[in-house]
Amino acid sequence: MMAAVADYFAVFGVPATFALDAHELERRYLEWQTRVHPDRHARGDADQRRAAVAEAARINEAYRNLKDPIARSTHLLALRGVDVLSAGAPVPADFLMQQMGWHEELDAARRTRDQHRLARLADGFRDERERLVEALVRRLDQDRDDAAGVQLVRQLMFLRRLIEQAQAAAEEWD
Amino acid sequence: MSLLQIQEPGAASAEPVLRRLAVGIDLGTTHSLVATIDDGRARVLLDEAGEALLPSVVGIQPDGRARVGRDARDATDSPAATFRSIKRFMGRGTADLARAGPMPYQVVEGEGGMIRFDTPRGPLSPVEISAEILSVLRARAEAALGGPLHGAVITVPAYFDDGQRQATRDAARLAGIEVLRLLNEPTAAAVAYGLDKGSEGVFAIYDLGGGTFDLSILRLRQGVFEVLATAGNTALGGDDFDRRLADWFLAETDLALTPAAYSELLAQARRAKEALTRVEAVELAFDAGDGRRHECCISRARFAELTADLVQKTLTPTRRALRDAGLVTEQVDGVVLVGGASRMPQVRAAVAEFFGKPPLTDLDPDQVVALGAAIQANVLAGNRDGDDWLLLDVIPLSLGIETMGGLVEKIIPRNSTLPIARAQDFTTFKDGQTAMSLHVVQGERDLAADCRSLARFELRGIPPLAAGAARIQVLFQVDADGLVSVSAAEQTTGTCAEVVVKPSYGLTDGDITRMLAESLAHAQDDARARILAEQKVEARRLIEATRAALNTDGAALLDDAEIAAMLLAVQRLEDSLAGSDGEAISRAKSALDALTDPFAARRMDHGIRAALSGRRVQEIGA
Repeated sequence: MMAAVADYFAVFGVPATFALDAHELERRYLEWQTRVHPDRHARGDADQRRAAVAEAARINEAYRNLKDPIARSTHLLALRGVDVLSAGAPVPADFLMQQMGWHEELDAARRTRDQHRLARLADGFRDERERLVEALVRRLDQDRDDAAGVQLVRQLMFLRRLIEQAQAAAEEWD
Repeated sequence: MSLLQIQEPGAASAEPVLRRLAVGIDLGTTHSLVATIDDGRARVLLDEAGEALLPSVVGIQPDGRARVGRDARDATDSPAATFRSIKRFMGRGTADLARAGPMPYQVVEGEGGMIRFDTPRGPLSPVEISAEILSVLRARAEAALGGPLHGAVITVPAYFDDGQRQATRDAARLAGIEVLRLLNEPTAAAVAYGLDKGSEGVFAIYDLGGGTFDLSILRLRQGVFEVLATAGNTALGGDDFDRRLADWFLAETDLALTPAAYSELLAQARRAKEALTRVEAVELAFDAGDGRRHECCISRARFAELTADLVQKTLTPTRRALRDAGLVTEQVDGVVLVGGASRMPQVRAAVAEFFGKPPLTDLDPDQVVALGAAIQANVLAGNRDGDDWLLLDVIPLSLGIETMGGLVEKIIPRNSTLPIARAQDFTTFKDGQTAMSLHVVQGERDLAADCRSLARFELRGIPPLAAGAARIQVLFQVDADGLVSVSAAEQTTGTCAEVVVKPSYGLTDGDITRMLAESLAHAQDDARARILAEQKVEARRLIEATRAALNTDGAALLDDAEIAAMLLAVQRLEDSLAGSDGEAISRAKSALDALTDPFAARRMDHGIRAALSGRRVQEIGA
């Protein structure tokens, strides 16, 4: 029993591609919310207000999924019938090696409480994230190579974890 | 479910709009306010003494009645029944009390670890005590606006969890207030500022109240206020600065004080702190009760030194909120200060240094939250005066569910925009498992035990399948107030369980209904007692007047039978006054009235004739 995947791109009437005009998406999101938000229906009856909550929640959910590159690419692949978590070959060994290296550096920076090293690492993670996002545009939109796309999304997920850990380390020192 | 009707943006509603009385209420830790929209502008409502701030202090007097505000705050007679900063206990359990520090109240443990304080009226929950404050504000609003309230927007710290929000809403219901919305305090402040200035951009709201600190990042654009991130510390506020000053004084003077004397010293410290916003140095003087007066001089610089770590502590959530919003300080267009404690010069200096720009201070930091709430209340009541703006708020703390090993699976991360509906699939752990127990928690920690427990419920009737085969979908819904409900359904059979999340230390709907019924019953008792008292006064007045009239004119105007009948009626009325049966008094009084009315008419005629004939009239009419 597989429920049909809701198409978040269709909610805002934007093309189902990974590359996306963030400003246009935001403009539409705000315009949609301005119309359906429960506060705009505060004088409606109970049914109308319930419907407004459901509709506003649906728009929030769609926007959240399109805004974030990982959620957006996962959603785009799901619409194409590809499940990122179960599909395809394992993450390449060289990426795993690089990952382990990053984790070790992060641990070292945390142990020595080296703020500059941590900041440099975090900058490096963000640069790598940019690189992966650009690669995703090529793979998913231009080449339509979903298998390669899945690999890149997984790498983005690893990277997100690293960025979160770097942030948590910075917070520990606050 | 009906289809949502969407109005063209800007199109005016055709129906004539009846103005509904709506207010914004800032239910604060140290003081509370109520504001409304008047002639298109937000203004705070004042009490008879012209004061805007109602101290959030409730004293329960020996007769059980509540004394709220300045009187309660300044009373020194019964510290154990004078509740200050009650907001700290909203939605909290007895297990949380350890962190609250020493206090003069007696706690009676309610069912399920709920806090109840011992008072002359019996055990009272923080919700009931807060309701007393809200009742006073409601009365103030209804007196000022001249009619019953349609509803109110009540503000809460952005960092309040579901239990604290539910408790606040329950207190309003107890006070007979329809809650239009629970609004985050910093968001309310941004609304007041943003609309006042008509400016677009990113605002940081730095809210240092009496007992809590919040920092929120908001963006105003296309007429939409969007909360980007919020962070805070629920155990950091102006009170900590008072305590720091009081403790420094004790160290300087080598004094040891009783709890009552210490709270007096705290009040002195608060006054000194407030004075230091205006002057460079003040004398902190205290009479310790041993006949000696202790004095220490404290300078602004020394006070800043003593509290530097407290100020720094506010910057931790500030950094976190900026990180969550994905912004750096340069991208913040304006910093708004909220809360009386934000007046301290060392706080203003630290904020200005951190953001690299002086904070905005045009609106009174004590009033700005209530003003913003009033603006939102006006919109929600449907009195929108052409303002075309919308507020998009976020959930402050992540929501999750406990999984194997006591770990939390986050379903809704913090700072997700409200309202939210999100589903997550779970499966069974054992072959043939037919029930599943779900534990909903709120917080950022990985272990469920470290998060706040919101609700536990069971889903039964799952078809017995191999482990991992059942599909249980858990649907989390969070409404625009930030209140949570959770339902679960097994997908292959449609077995359902639904709970509206009831906070572990909150009141059940049954509790609320009972308390409302009780207060209503008390109100009826009170009304009945007042009517009875008034009847008795009336009846006694009639008896006196009848006797006097009989003495003066009885012999001249009445025959013996009439006099006997009247005396009997007087006797019956007197007898009825001994009891408390309002009906009986009313009947006896009517009987006497029936006899005295013609007598009064005759005496009137007699009096007029006497006056015409030049005689002096001594008394006319019964």
